[in-house]
Amino acid sequence: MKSTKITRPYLFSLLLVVAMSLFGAVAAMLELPWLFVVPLVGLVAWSDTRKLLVTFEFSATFVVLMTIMVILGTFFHKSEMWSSYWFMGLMGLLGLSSLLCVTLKFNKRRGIPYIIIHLSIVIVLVGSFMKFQLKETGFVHIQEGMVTNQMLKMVNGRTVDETAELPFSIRLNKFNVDFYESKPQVSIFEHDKDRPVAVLKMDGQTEAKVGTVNVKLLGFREHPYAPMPDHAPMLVKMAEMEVDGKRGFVMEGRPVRHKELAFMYRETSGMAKVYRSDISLMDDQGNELVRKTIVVNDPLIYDGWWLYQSNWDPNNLSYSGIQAVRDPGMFVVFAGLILLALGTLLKVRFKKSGEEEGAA
Amino acid sequence: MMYKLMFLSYMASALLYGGGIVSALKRKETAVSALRWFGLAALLVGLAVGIYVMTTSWIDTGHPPFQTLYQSLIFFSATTALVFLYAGRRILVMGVITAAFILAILAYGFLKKDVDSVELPPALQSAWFIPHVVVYFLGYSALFVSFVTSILYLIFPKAKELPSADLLGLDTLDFNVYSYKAILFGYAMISAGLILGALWAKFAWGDWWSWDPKENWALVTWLVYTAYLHFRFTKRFSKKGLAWISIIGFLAVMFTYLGVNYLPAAQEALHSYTME
Repeated sequence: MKSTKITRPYLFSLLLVVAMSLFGAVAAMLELPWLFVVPLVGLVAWSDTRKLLVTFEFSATFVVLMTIMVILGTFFHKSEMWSSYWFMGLMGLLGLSSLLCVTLKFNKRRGIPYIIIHLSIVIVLVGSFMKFQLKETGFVHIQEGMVTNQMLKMVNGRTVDETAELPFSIRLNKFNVDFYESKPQVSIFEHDKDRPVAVLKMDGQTEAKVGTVNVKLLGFREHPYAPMPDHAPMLVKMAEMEVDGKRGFVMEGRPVRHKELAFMYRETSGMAKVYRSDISLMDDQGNELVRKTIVVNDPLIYDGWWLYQSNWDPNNLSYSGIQAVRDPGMFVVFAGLILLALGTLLKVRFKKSGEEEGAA
Repeated sequence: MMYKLMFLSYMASALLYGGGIVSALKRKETAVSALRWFGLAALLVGLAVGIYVMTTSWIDTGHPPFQTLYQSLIFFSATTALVFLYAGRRILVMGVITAAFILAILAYGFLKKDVDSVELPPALQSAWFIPHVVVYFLGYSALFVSFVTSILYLIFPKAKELPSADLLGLDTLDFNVYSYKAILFGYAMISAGLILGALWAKFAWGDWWSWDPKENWALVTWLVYTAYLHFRFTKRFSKKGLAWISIIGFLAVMFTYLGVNYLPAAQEALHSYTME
């Protein structure tokens, strides 16, 4: 801070950040969002502010204000906030300050990790800005055997009532779901709780002591049972139990009470384990461009488009929900993140080898 | 049964380290070194049982034991013990506090005990799952160390000059520098966790950042420690102020880990796997 005339760096930084966001908000209201670039240019042109932007006093102030903003954001839960132009203006200020740190402090005492970390922040911000400007997202509802190039547009993670065309068609060759095996079990409840206190099953826990009651699961079976004397008996699934030394049955659909406990026969729901779509991408002439089976966590990547297995319908097992995303900024962001990881690693290594603190 | 054994081991460890402090203040050197070793041994037993519990759970369910809150608490207790073994085992006070904190984690875990094994949903079936969780919990444990040393710094700014500092393991120690070193390691870990999370999110959800409540709070945590580092590098910021930022940082860690699910916005969040 020797060479600047700014004597109260924290206060000045605070005012600068607040003024910047106000300016961004007003510019956005006037529908001139790009005006936020003007003050940034001014900040670089004036040598005092240019020097302020590379001090730790400024960056610390900025980080504190950004922390407060993100906390407020989680309570108000306004996703539009993060794609507003005043936020963009603040990110511009962050990018500018980081960039100045890299250029003005190059070859100075702050060290290689410092340069890498601040450069990585600039790169991530550039990539995010590209995403903000260029990202296309949509949702494709498709049935087995169907071919479509239509998607419902998505804004802030939700579909809107507007369609867009993909540069290729998607054909769903086959859709299927694997379920986890459904198994019988006995859930034990205490009467005032809605969560079971114990769950007994043959390949897991078979005995429990709940309060003063000793419970043991002996097995499961199907048994003929006649609800009324003159009815034909039907097969009922049941668990054979021993409770406090006495044997008994818990039938499907009929909870049994004992002291303060309730016993209930249940079958695990058989949750979806894997759902997968075998899809082909086709050009206008109907030629197959590429084919892949996509599952959650393993999208098909083609020509800048990422196609995700996103949804399925338990009532219609030939339906698949596919999310399509194109984000040209992504590779820039990835490069920035990898650089950030590298810089952080180097920073910690440098410290561990005994370097004294001070040079970031 | 195993849980009880784990709990008792850590309790023994806390008491033995506590006994070590009392002996150190009375200048009983042999007792101090004996209690230090027994405290360490009890902690190692607790850690070994924790690893056994996690391993059997992994074998039984066929997936890493990081899915439910209960499982993650056991893992957190283990990483906290590991970080202590690496960084703090010389310091008796850290022994008592670490063992006590682990007891608190395990007690909370007991309240949130899983009564049933839960299947792994498709979103968590990914190679990113293990590294993302492991680096985060190592980071959280290191940040716990910085939290404790920051509090100790506020109470004992000159640890070296305390009575029996040599026996307590404080003779070469400055809590403020210690806290800073723990933050450097913890910060590297939570940065790695954030980056791994972003890459995973791109493969799983289609976007590397979604302003999801968990993501926001992970960012808040990262920003608080970023502020700590920048304030520290100004060289003019008071050491007490830094200690306070480190304390706030760990509170943010705990909120990110345990509190986010209670936010109203979390009901529709991407990161909700263990809602009750």
